[in-house]
Amino acid sequence: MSPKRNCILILLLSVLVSCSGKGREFNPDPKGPEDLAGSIISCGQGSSYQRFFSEHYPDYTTVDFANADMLVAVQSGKADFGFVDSLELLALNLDRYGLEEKFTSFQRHEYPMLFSRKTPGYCDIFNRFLHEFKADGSMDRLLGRWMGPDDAQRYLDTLELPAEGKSMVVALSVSRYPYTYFTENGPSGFQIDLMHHFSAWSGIPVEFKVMDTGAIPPALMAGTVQCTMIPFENTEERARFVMFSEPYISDCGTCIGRKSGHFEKEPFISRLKQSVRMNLIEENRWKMVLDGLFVTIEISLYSIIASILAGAGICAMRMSRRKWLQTTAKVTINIIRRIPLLILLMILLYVVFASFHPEPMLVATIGFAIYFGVYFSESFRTGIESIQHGQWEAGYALGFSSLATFCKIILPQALLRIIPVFKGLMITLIKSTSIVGYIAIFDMTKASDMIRSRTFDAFFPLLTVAALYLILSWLFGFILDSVHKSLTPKHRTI
Amino acid sequence: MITVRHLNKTFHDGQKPLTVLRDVNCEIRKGEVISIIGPSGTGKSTFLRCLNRLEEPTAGQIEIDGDDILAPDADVRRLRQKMGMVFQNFNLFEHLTIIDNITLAPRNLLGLSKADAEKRALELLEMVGLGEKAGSLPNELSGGQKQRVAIARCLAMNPQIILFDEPTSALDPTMVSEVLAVIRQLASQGMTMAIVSHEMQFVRDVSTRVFFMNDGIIYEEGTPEQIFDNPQKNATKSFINRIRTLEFRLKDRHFDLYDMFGQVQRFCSKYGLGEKIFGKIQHVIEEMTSEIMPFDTAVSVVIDYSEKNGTLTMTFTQENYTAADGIIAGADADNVSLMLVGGLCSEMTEPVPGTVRILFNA
Repeated sequence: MSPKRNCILILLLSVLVSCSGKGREFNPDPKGPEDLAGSIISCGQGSSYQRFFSEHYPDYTTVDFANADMLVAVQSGKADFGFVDSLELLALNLDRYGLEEKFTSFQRHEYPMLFSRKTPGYCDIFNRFLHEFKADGSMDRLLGRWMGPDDAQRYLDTLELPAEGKSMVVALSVSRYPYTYFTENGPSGFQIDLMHHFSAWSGIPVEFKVMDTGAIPPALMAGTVQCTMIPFENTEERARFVMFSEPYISDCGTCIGRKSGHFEKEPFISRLKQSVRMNLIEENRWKMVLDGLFVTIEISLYSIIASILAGAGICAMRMSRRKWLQTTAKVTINIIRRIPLLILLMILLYVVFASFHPEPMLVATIGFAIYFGVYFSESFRTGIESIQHGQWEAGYALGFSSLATFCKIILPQALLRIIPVFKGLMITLIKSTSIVGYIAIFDMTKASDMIRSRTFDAFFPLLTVAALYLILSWLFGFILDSVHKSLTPKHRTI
Repeated sequence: MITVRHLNKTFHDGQKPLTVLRDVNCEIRKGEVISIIGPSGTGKSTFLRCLNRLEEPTAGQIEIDGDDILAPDADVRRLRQKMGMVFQNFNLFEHLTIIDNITLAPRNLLGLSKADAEKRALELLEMVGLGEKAGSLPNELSGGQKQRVAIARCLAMNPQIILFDEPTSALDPTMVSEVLAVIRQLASQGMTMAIVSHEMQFVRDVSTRVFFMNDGIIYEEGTPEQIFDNPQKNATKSFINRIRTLEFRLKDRHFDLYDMFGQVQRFCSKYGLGEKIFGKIQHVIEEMTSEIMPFDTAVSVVIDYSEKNGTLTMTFTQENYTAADGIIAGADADNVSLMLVGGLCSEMTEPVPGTVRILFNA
């Protein structure tokens, strides 16, 4: 981001602050929740903090920023105070944002594991494991190691893990250092270590799967994953759909707010340097971005190919002489065009294919093929129909079959008109793949989310990924342009 | 070579069925050049397109060299390879160069090698005078050049007959002759052809036989001399002489004279008849309707103008005329109106009692 853009952003935010802050009076150094009157409080949606405030202080204003976004919200004044789990403070560089702890030891809460009701056996086994693990003091040792101040103590125990048998799939979401976070070698953290111990104890292989937080509850209900460690609290409402284990950890909240006094920002260049180091270089995070990039390219390629095939099929139906095929195609086109893509993907994964436990990549490809196939088919149809009927007749009159006429005469001309439209659709498709994180695919956007949740840097990972999408669409566009150019008729010298 | 019997084509895609060909019967022999003429909308193009089944006939038989081409197992593609077709809008393949336009079918359908096909294509292009355009693209050519390429493209398949569907109708007048010259050359080489055309002079020169189509049938056929110089039937005559007609039916003397004049004026300006003749027509109508025609019952007035001969005929007919002596003969010798009309026109006759024919040389 250029300094100028940065300035504009800050200007906008400060305008926002000055607008929303007008007439707002609150205690800048609260010592407890009772001191928060009049302020705007940021706590993640559905969190225990939010519930606490709505129960005890219904007059308070709460907003829903979480993780890195919360820090920025508090820093910029969109919120005045935010709440995080105390253990999470280990990962936060509050100084960098000009923030500080206001009060802590607030709202002690306990986190259980969540299990799918489709496979209730796992929950029982885990509870038995937890009981033993706590009884012999292993739990305290593990907690002491991971939650202490010494970074060198945060490592995964070397255990002999079972390799055979049906594995239990554990859903992970974004980083919550040091519970769970992502390194170049895969997931790490206290929770991962705990699951390894469980696996070694029970003989059940454990497989980790990264998904969007919002996608985990439906995945549990559909049984595509068996268990999750993200900290959902046990509520009656949730217990109707999923099973909760005994709690395995407890934590309390910390309130953070802006430092008193004037906060001097570091110069832009040094902040940029720090961002690059933090988000890309440390722990080889660039590898995560690169892996994500390859996944994005892979899924884009599969989806484009599948969409072209689906589009050709739907187009053939739409242009068929048989009335019922035409009608089927028309109805399909009209329905699919009215469903949001994300909803379509989730329906496919959690409803249509729920019982087959398919590869998310396959589901994403099918979803994109259906969704974009519809758009492709309409662009194909317009392209083909834009060719004068006389071209068909000329082909027939020479003695070509319908198929040969189409392939040799109509298609080469239609392609020239289809490709420019197709290019726009294809770029839309590539950008749309950024939602596959929702169905447990670790793409580039998901990688940036991971890094954001680990480094608490709101902007840099987003901008990096935006730039990569830009380059990617440009690259695909360039390929199509070359195809277009090669199809454009040229002179010959005879 | 081609025998057509009771050919019928009815289109069903509109609101109500539209019969374009009612009952077409004909025979086309090898080496003949058949021209098909007639007013527009009488099924000339449809007839041609039925011959290579670009349109499916509704009923009837078409036999080519004894084979029924409408049979369910007929090899339509093979049939089309033997029958070339040249379209009104050329229909060159816009994405291919001129030479590729010509070689596409021979290479794919006749199995010619690229070299052989191109050699033949260049010969054909030389023949139609476009040898230097081989590497160009269709959109760089004029309409006349495109149509000549289209003819070369047909010839590359060595067809036994070529169907021309109004080959010059989409052309600028200045380009018509170059295309006609190529067709004339083919005719002189003995190529069998069927041509739908509005170029009468060309049709007369090049055809061995002319079909005059009207109302969904071959209404009259014959040699060019028979059709052009001595047509037998009325519709043929009026088409050949390019006769334009305006008709009225007047119920009694109190008809709307000024509305009639308005229509006559539009008719005159449409066909380039000057003010002078319009004035004469007005006079004649006035005199005939006020004084001469008895108006026992309704009177019909028909104005025919032959563009070819430049003659204008007005026919006044008294319906249910019963008197034996006729209108002119029965009138007084000093009838002023009749004298006036007689002075305006170049000839006035009464071929049948009750029908007066007045002739002008426009």
